[in-house]
Amino acid sequence: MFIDVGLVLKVFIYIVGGFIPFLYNYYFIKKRVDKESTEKIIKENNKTLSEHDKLRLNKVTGEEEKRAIEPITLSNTLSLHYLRDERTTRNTATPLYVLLVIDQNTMNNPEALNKVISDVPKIMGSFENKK
Amino acid sequence: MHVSKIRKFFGILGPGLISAVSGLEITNIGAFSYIGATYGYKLLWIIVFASSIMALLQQLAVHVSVYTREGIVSEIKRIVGKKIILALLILLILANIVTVEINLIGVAFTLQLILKIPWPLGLVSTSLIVLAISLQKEYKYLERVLTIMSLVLSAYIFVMILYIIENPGEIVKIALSITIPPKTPLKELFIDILAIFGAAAAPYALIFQSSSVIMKGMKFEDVPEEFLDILTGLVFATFASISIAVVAAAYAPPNTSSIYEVILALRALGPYAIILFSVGVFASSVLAIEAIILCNAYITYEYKYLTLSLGDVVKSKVYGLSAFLTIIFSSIIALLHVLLRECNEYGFIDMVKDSSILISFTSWVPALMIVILYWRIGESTSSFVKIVSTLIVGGLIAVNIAGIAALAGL
Repeated sequence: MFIDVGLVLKVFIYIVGGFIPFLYNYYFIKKRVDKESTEKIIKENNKTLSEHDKLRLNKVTGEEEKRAIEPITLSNTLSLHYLRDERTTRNTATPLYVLLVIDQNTMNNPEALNKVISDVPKIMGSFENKK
Repeated sequence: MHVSKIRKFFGILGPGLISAVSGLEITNIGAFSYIGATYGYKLLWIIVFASSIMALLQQLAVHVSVYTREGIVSEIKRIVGKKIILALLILLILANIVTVEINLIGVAFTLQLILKIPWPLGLVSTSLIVLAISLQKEYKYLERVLTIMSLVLSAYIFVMILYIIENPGEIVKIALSITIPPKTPLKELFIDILAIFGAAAAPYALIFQSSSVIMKGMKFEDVPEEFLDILTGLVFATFASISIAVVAAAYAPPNTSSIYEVILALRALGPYAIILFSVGVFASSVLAIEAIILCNAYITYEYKYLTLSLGDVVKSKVYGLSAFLTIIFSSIIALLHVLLRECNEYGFIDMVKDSSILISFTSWVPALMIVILYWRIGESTSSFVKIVSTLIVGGLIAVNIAGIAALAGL
């Protein structure tokens, strides 16, 4: 069978010299970035946990606690079933998400924490009334 | 299709189309029109190939700039020394001046064609307008207006789509263009391929890619997104370039030589063709010249001082001096070019070929700088890409040496 060597060479240069390196480099870098970001997240989580443990185990004094820059950690999400966004145009109302930023002192005090959470519907109600 | 997906598609389509069409200037239009009119579809694959090589080099420019955190000129100066970097920069500035020169000739000949203004007068007045704009320093509004004006060059894409709708069989011929061997003598073919590389290369684009990454303070995790932008740019730029060649193959006379014959390729648009072409060429040429002036100022400034901002460059005295010298040298070379060729607008395509070949001779300079830095950074680099990019730069240098030999009659 006759093979046009010139054509094969042209197609080879066209693909291997042009598109393949371009696409390969894109996926190569994407993979590296994904790997690095996963490693970073694991490292950050370990750091947060170890710092938290250190704070608890070392019983840091009140004065030091005040001076410490407290990290904001999203520890859990809580769905409040009775709070729903009624303004939506859909048939079923979508859940309304409320982000509570709670300082370390409140977090360590279960009573204060309960009060903050139970006040959410009241605060939302007052916003609605203002409208 | 989901609404957000449609929105995303148009979000990419808009900027991609704008950057591709406004990136077209007279070098691309002239060279690709000539290739289409002379070779039909036979060399379309070279246009795609040249664009994909440029896209790979742009990727490397982004990658390198993320790691170096300094301009590529400063980095290379540290590696190869002052004398070699000076020689490389002179070559790059020469390529830029040649690009400005052919754009000035293109605008001057277009003005002569539509307004009967003699080309020397058109050349001088265009040079003065461009110099005045660049000395203003803040011309963002004007830049937007020019970008919108340059969008009329998407007429090429429009005409190509109309042509393919009328002749659906052509799409197969375009796709299989690589299988058709051109019957031109090898030496002539080789020089025309160099012209395609020169038109597609735009050496200043790599410098801008690098400086914009440094200025944004881009992180490694942002690189894939930037690569996607380059991919979008590649697709649209290739599409726009191909459309010029296809439209020329379909409608332009076989021996296209004048600017009027280049415009004839758009005759499907009737009397609007000449107006659209003139407006688009004027706007895109002014945009390209302003970008080149900034590039020349940037590399000169970076050779002397360490900078991370184009703003510093624009505020410096180097910018004004660079604008003045770039325009003066380009105008003189443009005058000499037309006089040496002993031609008027009928030899326009020959002049575009001359300029594209000269640009091609220096297209390897920024490519070489980027590949050297890619080898040096070491982090997150691929051996495969290292080898391919080195082969590309080596190939570019070899092809250009062979081109010089061919032109010298060896």
